[in-house]
Amino acid sequence: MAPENPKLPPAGPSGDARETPPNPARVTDPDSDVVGLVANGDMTGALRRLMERHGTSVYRYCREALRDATLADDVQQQVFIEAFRDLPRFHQRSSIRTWLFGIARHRVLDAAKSRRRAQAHIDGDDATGVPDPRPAPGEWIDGVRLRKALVACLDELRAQVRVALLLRFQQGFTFEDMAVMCDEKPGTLQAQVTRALPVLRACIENRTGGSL
Amino acid sequence: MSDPIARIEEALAGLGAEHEPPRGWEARVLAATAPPKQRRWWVFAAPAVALAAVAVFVLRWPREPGFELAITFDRDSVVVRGDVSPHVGDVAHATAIGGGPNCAVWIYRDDALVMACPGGAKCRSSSTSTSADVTLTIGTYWIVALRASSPIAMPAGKIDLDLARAQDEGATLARKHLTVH
Repeated sequence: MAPENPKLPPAGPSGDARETPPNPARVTDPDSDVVGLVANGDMTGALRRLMERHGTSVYRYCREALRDATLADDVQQQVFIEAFRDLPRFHQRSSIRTWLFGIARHRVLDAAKSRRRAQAHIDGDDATGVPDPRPAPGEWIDGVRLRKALVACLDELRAQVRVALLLRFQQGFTFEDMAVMCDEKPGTLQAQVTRALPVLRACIENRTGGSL
Repeated sequence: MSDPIARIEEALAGLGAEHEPPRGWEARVLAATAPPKQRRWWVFAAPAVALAAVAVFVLRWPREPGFELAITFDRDSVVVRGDVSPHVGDVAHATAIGGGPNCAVWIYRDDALVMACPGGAKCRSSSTSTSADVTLTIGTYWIVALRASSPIAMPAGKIDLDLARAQDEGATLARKHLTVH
């Protein structure tokens, strides 16, 4: 049998040389019905259900990670096309959502890399270029201003860190789930995210001139 | 006032909440993952049927059957075919092929008739051919195959007159010349 997506962490069946403890996701995965559809050969039904449940969150993740509506649209579609292709090789060593976002993470990083190479256009709603009315020094930064500055400051981070922050806070993944997606240790990712938050704070306060 | 880091985490959680995927994205994914449309069987069958029809037309269309005169020789009980010099004592087997029901083989030696088939003792006829066997002696032979749409009259015995009359009556001729030394 062909392996799962080679860019994703291994998720082989039991008997694999790299055996891992049983994953609770196998039992509790709310998308287990999707696996059932695949087992019954209803690939299109499985794809429809995945798109219905995760389409919006994958799009928002791509959109915020890439800050480009058109690119996010393309990447989102690539994610589901790839998921459709690889679903028969999904072995439930993680939840389907984790697996799906693993694909999304790879596609986002690939797209970001390609864009850097091509010096592609970044869409108009990119807040990095929007002048921010500066409050008085030390003034509390309101939610709107915080969001704008946050978006701009995220763009200053490395793509890997930005993606990790979004997976953790926007999508609510645990570090264990993220470790499966990123093929990293949970502690490494936690340290990466923990280090990034004060950097973001400093950047936001510096940009706005206010205080969080 | 809340913890600044918690505020950032909260803001991160809300990022992109206002964005919705573009309309029709699901249809585009489904289109991209749809199996390629299988062509209907008759798309492939039509050219094959057309070719078969042409083949039947070419192979089965009624054609005028070929008409030819073939000669082989028996020399010392061995059949000799092809372009050979006949010898005295050889038996020539002259066969008119494809002549239909009105077919004849006439054999002349030095312009005089020596055998006419059908009708002779050494004649053989079938639905597709008429044959004559003659033992060769020294002289010049003309072996003539004839076919016509009506029965061919028996030859009188002189080659020029016989062939002229047969042609006048609409017969088609095929002939070969042998010189036996």
